[in-house]
Amino acid sequence: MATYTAHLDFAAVFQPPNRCPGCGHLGLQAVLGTDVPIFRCPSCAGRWRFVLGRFFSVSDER
Amino acid sequence: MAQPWAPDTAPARHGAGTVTLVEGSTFCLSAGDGDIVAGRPHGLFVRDTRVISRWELAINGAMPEPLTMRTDEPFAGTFLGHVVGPAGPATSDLLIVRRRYVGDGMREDITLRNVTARETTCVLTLTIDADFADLFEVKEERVSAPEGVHRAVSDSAMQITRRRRHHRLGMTIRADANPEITDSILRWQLHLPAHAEWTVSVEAVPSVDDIAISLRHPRGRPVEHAMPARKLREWRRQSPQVSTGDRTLAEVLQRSVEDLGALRIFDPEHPERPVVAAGAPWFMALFGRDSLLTSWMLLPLDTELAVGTLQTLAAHQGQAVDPATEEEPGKILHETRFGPEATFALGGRNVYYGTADATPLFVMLLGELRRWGADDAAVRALLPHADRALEWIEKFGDDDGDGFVEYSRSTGQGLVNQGWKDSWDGITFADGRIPHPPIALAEVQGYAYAAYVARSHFATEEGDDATARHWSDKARRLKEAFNEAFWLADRGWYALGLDGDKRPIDALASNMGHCLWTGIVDEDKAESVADHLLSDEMFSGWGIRTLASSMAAYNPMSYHNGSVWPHDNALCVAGLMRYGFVAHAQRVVEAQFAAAESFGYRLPEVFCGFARADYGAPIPYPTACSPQAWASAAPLLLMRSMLRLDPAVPSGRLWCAPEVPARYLPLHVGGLEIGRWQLTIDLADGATKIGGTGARALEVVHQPRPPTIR
Repeated sequence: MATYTAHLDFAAVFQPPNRCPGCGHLGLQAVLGTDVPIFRCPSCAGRWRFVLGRFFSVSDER
Repeated sequence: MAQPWAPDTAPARHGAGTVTLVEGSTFCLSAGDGDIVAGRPHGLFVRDTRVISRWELAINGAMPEPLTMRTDEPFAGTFLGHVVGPAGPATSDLLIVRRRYVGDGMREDITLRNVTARETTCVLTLTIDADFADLFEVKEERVSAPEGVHRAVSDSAMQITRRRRHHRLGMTIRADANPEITDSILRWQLHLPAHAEWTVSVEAVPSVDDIAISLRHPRGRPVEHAMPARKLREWRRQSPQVSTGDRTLAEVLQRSVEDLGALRIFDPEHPERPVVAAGAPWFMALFGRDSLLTSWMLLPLDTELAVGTLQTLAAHQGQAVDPATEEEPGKILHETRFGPEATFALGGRNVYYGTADATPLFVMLLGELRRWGADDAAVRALLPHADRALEWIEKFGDDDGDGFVEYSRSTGQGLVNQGWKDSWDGITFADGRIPHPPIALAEVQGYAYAAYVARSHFATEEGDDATARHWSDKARRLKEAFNEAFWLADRGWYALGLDGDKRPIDALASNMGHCLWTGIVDEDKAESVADHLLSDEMFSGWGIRTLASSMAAYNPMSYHNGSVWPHDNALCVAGLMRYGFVAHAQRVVEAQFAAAESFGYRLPEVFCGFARADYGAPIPYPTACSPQAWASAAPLLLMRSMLRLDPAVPSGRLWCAPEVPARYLPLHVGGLEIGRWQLTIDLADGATKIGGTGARALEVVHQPRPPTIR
């Protein structure tokens, strides 16, 4: 008989983003004081927003 | 103040085939061919304002025939159409590809491809308008002809502006390839050689007080595609999991994880605190009631969302009396939007407090959080906020001192109804009449009762017997008064509320299912309540309706008067199980999972209340949010209810007496963290095994928790 498994790791889903979507570095940091939270990678300096389950790159001009 | 707080929160019907693209607080609703059609609830919305109300493409004055569309990412869509060739509809001369990207405005790349071996000429036009209507005006289909709109052409751009609420709102349209520009049309005269292709990029840039908002995807720059967060996560070996022989159950539960993760939003002041938006696309904001109930449903799997939600709501707990926002000391908010987005449509305010139930739900959730063994320090830090919430219940919530919590909006801008059925006609008598306020809803008394009980338990834990007795006495008195005033003995169900003259609002509705959930129902009345919830008038076969089909206001396609709401059903199931009506609860559970299967394993915010026998499939509600947080969380509460899982970590006990329908067996539930214990449940071949590992074992009571306090 087939068995179907659901992994219900909400802790991982709700924790602030940690891994940089650009370079994979662990240690993504929230930039405080912005109107909308931005997450910055200390390794590659990439900046990201998190919306509807996806990361969006934030260009330097913004 | 503008009209941010609508008397009817039901989304407008934007019709079948509507395409939604979302990026943050920007979203675009269009027809399936990509056109934003004037006069319909379409548009590009930025910061709750419709900055594009018309965006219609034509070739030689005619609309292309739509072929297909695709949304690869939430913020991007591709629309394909064609111009029919002279040989008839099966042939094409031109293929039109529209690639649209939204984010603080919009960019559209339009490609025309001559698919024939002969050259051709054509005229491409894009007709554009902006009315700067509030999102709420559009949602409720009450947009009037905009006044004060100014159009101009300058600097090779089309500009539309309108002054609203002390701000000059603007929209600037620019495009490549030197179009001819009037005050409402961009026009290109094209010559396309055989098999040639031509592309133009058009951008729509909104502005406030002549300061342009930076587009997220401007012209001339490659679009950086989003990275799904789930690809970056590594599942933890010890994460909770459910294994079952039923594919639907597993798929629905897994979908809940992804959808709730997608609705995660961040408070700029505290990005570490998890909170979720109510639903996409209309409600990408923090709602008190929705977030509290969603957190409650998730407790067996995650207590951090409840902590983050309570902390965030506590930070905005009412301080002063403000009729415009309905803020009152101790009150928990109805809705807030983080960041500057709020200032566009909400008249400079970003918090609204017009809700009667969020405040007792706040206390109720804190009490339940404690039972699940959440971090003691975090819970203790929130207790003073719970006490302020209780003060609100006693003072402002019960303004006339009759012991019941009532609501009545303080201005004409506020919500007419301030329970979860908050559409203007969501509360009616059996004969369809609309009651006049102040209105005391049945379920809100249940929430208040549960809040009093929770506070009594806190006091007991602290050894404060006098305070414990105070709140338990208060709970007992409320329960007695409720069962006296709300019970309709001649009907066998509870009134869904009391009107301004304290007359029972006698409609048969789902509200009393919430009362079962909270324990306020007298045990001798529970069977009649359960039977009515599962009666033909209330149970559609896919779920419990919001309002019985025998009521005058019943409409299976309405928002709150006969539709089926998954979160409502999950709370009813929890109540039915609480009072021991296992067969009733199991019928609803199986119906809800069957409905979820029909919806691609995702329960929407709401669906129509037609009988299952009518069409053989649940009928979608036209503008339901999907995903919607509490609908996504509902399957988790259904699961918990089937397990009859009820911990009391402070007293070291766990009630667990599963009653799971055979179709979901064998069933393994592992990795549930309760306090400092990891629980495992195995159900197969008529046997139940409950075990656990960890630092602090709980005493397992193999019975359901008693439904009421004796």
